[in-house]
Formats: sequence, structure tokens, C-alpha cells
Amino acid sequence: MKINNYIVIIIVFLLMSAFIYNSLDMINEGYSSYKKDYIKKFVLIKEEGNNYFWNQIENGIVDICNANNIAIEILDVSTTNLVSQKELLEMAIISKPNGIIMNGYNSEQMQDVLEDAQENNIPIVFINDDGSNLLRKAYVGPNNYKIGQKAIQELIENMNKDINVLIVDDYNLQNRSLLIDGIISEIDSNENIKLNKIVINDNRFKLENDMRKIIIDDPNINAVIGTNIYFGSSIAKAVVEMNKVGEIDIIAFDNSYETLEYINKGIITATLFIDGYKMGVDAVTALLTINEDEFSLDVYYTPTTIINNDNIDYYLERDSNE
Amino acid sequence: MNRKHSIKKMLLYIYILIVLSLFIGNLFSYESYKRFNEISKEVNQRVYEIKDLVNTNSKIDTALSNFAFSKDTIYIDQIYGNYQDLVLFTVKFQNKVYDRTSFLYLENIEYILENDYTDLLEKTIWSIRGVDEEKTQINYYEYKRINQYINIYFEMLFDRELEHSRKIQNDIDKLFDEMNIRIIFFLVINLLFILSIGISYGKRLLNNLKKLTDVAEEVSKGNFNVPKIELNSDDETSLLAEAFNKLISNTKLLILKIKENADFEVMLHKEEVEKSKVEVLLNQAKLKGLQAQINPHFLFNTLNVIAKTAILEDADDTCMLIESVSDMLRYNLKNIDTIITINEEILNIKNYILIQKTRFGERVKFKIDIKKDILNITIPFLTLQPIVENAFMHGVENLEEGGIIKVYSKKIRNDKYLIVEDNGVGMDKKSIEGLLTDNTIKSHSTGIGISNVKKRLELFYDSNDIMFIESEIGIGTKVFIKLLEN
Repeated sequence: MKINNYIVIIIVFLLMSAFIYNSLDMINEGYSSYKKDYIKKFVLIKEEGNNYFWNQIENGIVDICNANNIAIEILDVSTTNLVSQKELLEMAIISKPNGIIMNGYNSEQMQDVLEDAQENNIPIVFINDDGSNLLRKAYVGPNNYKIGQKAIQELIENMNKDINVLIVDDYNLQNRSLLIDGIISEIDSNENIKLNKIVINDNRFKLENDMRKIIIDDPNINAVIGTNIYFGSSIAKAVVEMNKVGEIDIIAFDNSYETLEYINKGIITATLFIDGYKMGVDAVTALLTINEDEFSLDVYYTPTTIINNDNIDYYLERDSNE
Repeated sequence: MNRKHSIKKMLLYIYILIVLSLFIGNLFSYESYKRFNEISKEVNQRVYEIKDLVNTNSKIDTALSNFAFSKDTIYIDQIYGNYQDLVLFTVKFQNKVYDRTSFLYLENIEYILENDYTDLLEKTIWSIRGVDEEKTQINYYEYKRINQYINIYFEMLFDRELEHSRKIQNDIDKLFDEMNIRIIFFLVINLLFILSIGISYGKRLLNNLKKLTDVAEEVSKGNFNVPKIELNSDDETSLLAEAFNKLISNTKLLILKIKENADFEVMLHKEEVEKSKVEVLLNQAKLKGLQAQINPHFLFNTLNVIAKTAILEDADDTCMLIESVSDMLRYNLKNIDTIITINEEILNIKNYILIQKTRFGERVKFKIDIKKDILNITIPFLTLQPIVENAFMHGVENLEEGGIIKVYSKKIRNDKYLIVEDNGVGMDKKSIEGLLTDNTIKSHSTGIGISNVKKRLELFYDSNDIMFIESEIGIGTKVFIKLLEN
């Protein structure tokens, strides 16, 4: 054996040891103490615990906050044991964040808290739902009136006959009323479409059953619009069970996989959905603009996407890739 | 011999490698276990610390309630003490969190503690002291509300910690597995490596040993014509090979020597045969001597009577001649293997010359010139007489006149020579050869030939170049006898 061999052996030994030693370092990685690295903190008050659409919004907010070194505190009824959004807002204000993002749908009930926030110079951005309260600095979300109009236009485009439309609505809230206002205004401006009635549904688990009854009671209905993001698939199930596929057109407002599948099968005519992720990003952008005392728009409309039989393949494929 | 790579060193080296790799493997195993354990411990510790924070907070609440009932200021101390602890621990804990959200929660807690919380605590205490029940109620309610938020943050922090702890435990489990795999990988690779070294070394060792045994087998069959063993190694086997090579070459040499000895013995045997021939020659000479002894006393007495008669008749020359013959006879009757000095031999020659002078008169001249320093050197009996006689008989006898015979000693280089020279007819080489080897050519007076003289001289001095002859036809002959000091 020559000296070279000794060197090779020593090198191999050292390499192997380094390899193992590196593994030891791996143990400590990721557990080092965190050092404060943000200058701003925002609060997101979530509407409901585990909701597909709100999760998208949350993802958008968290991603852009991380990208801008902003700390984001997410307050949620389910994780805080607080019963109302009002209480969550109160709690959020106490620690003086640089901004709060929340759904503005029942903001008139929390006038005093919003005033408190204003006093403390905490800007509030409403998201998805623009309440009637003007204490908010900006609204980020869909133009619901326009969405209502588009829903009817979509029905007209797809149906070459007189339309007798049934609307299944959520609680009668400000946001929804804008949507319904849009729907009604569009119905009024078209002769061959007629509003059958507006059904208020307060329990989505009951909806399927209710729909069956309605369909049996009124065979004239040939189109249904479900305004809540959960309604589309429930209505579709009822239509399938009543063997009315092709006879009753459905308009939904979500892009869940289930809904896309129903569109693919021709059961749901179209869905009008809003990009929750973009909405979240826009909300944080709006807050940042406000924070820097720059001129901020009052309203940031998030564009609506219509998915129907024409472009369903693209969205199905995109979903399956994700 | 100090070898760079002895088998012992190699074995030690492999052994050290194995022990070292096992040691490192174990060391890492232990170290990783220790680190995992530390992390686990720390994670658990943190969960308890948060629980302590919550407990401290509830202690403040309890103290406040107690104070409201009893108004005992001891509770105020408790409240402040616990409050200080709470703030301190919160700030301290901020340095320990893993991520931004946990830090945010702690920051919020700290902010609330230092602002709204402390305000309300102060207000509540003052209103209790001021016995303002209405205010006390409002402030206490507010305090409770704020306290609830703090507890919510603690709870969320606690949940996060638990979540984190679970994640870390999972990570640790995975890392532990990977660590084990790596250590096993390390050990396996190292052992394979060491094994490969061992095997390659062992192979070479066996190969070398095989070469050695092959050659040993050949040698054991008696075949010494094997090629030199050359081993590609630096260990004891090469030492063995060297020794083996030496052994083989030495054995070869030994065998050669034995063969030579055998040849020598054959030669010796031949020489003995030759020697016995010489003995036969001597015996011949003795026989001749015995024949001449037939009645020496009668012969001497007769010769003495003749000599005295010659004196009475005034024939002095005749008397001298007879005395010379008598002396010569007496001399010649000595035992043939007697050793005598050159001096005695010369005296005998002088008697012989006297007789011959009387016979040949002035036709032949004799010259004797012997240095004194060689007179005592011993030579075999009757060495010179046959040679001088030969010079007469075959050299100068036939010359009409002017024949000269010289007997003299001479130093040539470092050797002393006794030379008998004549200026007679001379001999050719063939005749010289015949004279030196043919034992039938014999002297008239002694019956001993030149060849006999030569052999005896050679035996006497144990040398082959004692006597040689130089001769040229028509010029003369020189007989050289090399004298060696005894």
C-alpha cells in the first residue's frame, strides 16, 4: 500500500464523518429562536372557521404578509371562544394593530367598536362584503350588483326559451341584497325572463330537501340561482334526484371541485366565482397603502370569473394539477 | 528488519479502523440521541412555562377578588408581585418562540399587560379602596374582559406550542430514523471499505504465500533451477522470499562444491596410482643397488689391496683412481631414499669426474662452481650423478675435444637453481620429452634414469616444476634443478 491509499482512506473517513456531523446539525435546524422581523401587524377576523372560500382569502393574506414581513394575526370564532365578530374586533383593537381586515356584512351592529378603532387610528378594510358602514377605509371584494346582472345574462345566453327563475338566498343581508338587486334589475330589463320567487334558506343542510319540494310544487321553474357558495351543489343534487337535468338550469357562485364536476356533467349551467386569493392580496395591499398615508381607493373590486361549459376543461385541468 | 508494512502493522491498522468507525458511529448515535432528548425536553418545558404564565395570571385575578372582599393590602402586594412576574416571563418567553405568530401573540400580551391591563388593574384597586361599588363593578368587568383576551392569547399560544411540539416530535421521529439510517450507512460503508482493504491485502498475502509454496514444492522435488522469487510486497512474506532465495542459491553452491570434491577424490586416487608407480621405480633402483651389493666387503677389500699395491709400485695415480672408485662405490651403495646435502652430492660428483678425467683426459673439462649458501640444502640421494653422467654420455662423449661440463648454482629471480650445463650435441624437444618420461633410459654407473631423478625430485619437493631442460642442437644442454629450502 502506498501513501496515496492512506490519504484516500483518511479522506473517505473525514467525508463520512462530515456527512454524519452534518446530520447532527440538521437536528438543530428550524428550531432556533425566532427574532422579531416585522414592523407592522395586521389582524384578519375570519368569517367562519373552516371555509373553502375564506381559506383562499386567508392564504392570499398570509402569503403577501410573509412576503412583506408583516405579522398577521388571525382571529376566528372557533379558535377564540368568542361568540361574535364584534368581540373579535374588540379584542383585535386592544393590542393596537396597524390594520384590521374583516367581513363587513353586519358592520352596522358594531358601530361603537368601529368608532373605537377609528379613535385609535386603526384602519379597517372590509373584505368580500361591503357593509353599509362608512367607518371602514376601503372595501375589497366583488361587485355584487354586477355579479347579479351577470348571473342572469349567463342564464339568457344558455337558455333559448322563457325563463322562470327561482332565487335561493342566504340571510337577507346587505351584501346579498346588492346581488339580488342586480339580479332583479337584469330580470326587469329582459322580457322573456320572469322571477318566480326568492326563497330564503337559513340552513344549508335542509336545502336539498326544500328544493325537492319546491320543484314538485312548481313545475314551471326552469332556472335556479343559489346565492350562497354552498347552494350550488345542493340544488344540483336535488335536480338530479328529481330527474330534471336539462330542464332546470342552475347558476352557482363557487369554484369548488364538486361544482366544477356538475358543470362538466351539464347539471350546473355556470358558476360565477371570485378569486379569494387575489382578494386577500388586494386587502393587504390596500392596508399598506393606507398605512403609508398614500391615497387609497375606496373600493377595490375583485374581478369575477365565469365558468361554464365552454371553459370548464381548463379549470378542471388546473385544479387537478394543483 | 524494520519493515514499512508488516502484517502485524496491517492487522493493527485494520483493527484500528474498525474500532474507530464503530466508535464514531456510536459517538454520533449518542450525540444525536442527546440532542433529540434536549429538544424534546425543551419543548415540554415550554408548554409548562405557558401553563405557569396562565397560572400567574389567574393568581392575580384571585388576589384581586380576595382584595375586593377583604380589602387586605397583602393582596395588593400579591397582585403586583404576580404582575411583575407575568410581564417578566412574557418578555422572557418572547426570546424563546419559534415563529412570528407566537411572537406576535406574546407581543400583544405584553402590550395589553403594560397598557389596558395595568390601567384597569390600577383603577379597580383604587375603586375597591375608595369603596365605590358601582365603579368597582364597571372596572372589574372591564378588567375581566381584557383578562379574557390575554387568556385567549395564552390559549392560542398554548395551542400553537402544542402543535409545534407535536410537529417537532414528528420531525424528531423522522430525523431519528434518518439519523439511524445515516449512521448505519456510515458503518456499512466503512466496514465495506475496511473489508475491501482487508480482502485485497489478504489476497496479496495469499498470492505471495502461494508463490512461496509453489517454489518450495519444486525445491522439495529436488529441482533447484527455479526462478528467483520476487514479491510485490513490503511485509514479512518478502523477508521470507529473500531468505528462501538465499537458501536455494546456497544449496546450489553446496551441491556444486560436493561435486567438485568428488572430482578431486577421483584425481587423488589417480595420483595414488601414480605414486605406487614411483614406488615401483624406487624398488627397481633398490634392486639394482642390491645387485651391486653382492659382495661389497670383498670388493672394497680387493680395491684397497689394489690401491696399496699401486702405492708399493709407486703408481700414485692408479692408487688415487682406485680410491675414487672405492668412494663412489661406497657412496652409491647407500640406501636409495636417503636424503643428503648438496655438499655430499658434489663430493661424489668430484670422485666421478676424477675417474672420467682419467678416462677422457683433456677432451673434456669440468667446472664446479657452487655457492656456499646452498651447500647445506638437502636433495634426494643420487640426483646429480645421473644428470652429469647423461651430460657425458649424450653430450660431450662424442666430441673430439673442447667438451665442457659445468655444475654451478645460480639465482634466477628469487629462486635458487642448481644447473648442469654441457656444450655437447644438444637435443630436440622430442628427445628432452623422452629423457624426462622414459624410464628405460638409464645411467650406466647408477642404473637410474633422468626420469627417475625428476620424479623423485618432484615427490621430494611436492612440486611439478622442480626440474626442466633447456637444449639446442649443436650448442648444448642445460638441466635446471630448482632448490627449495626445507
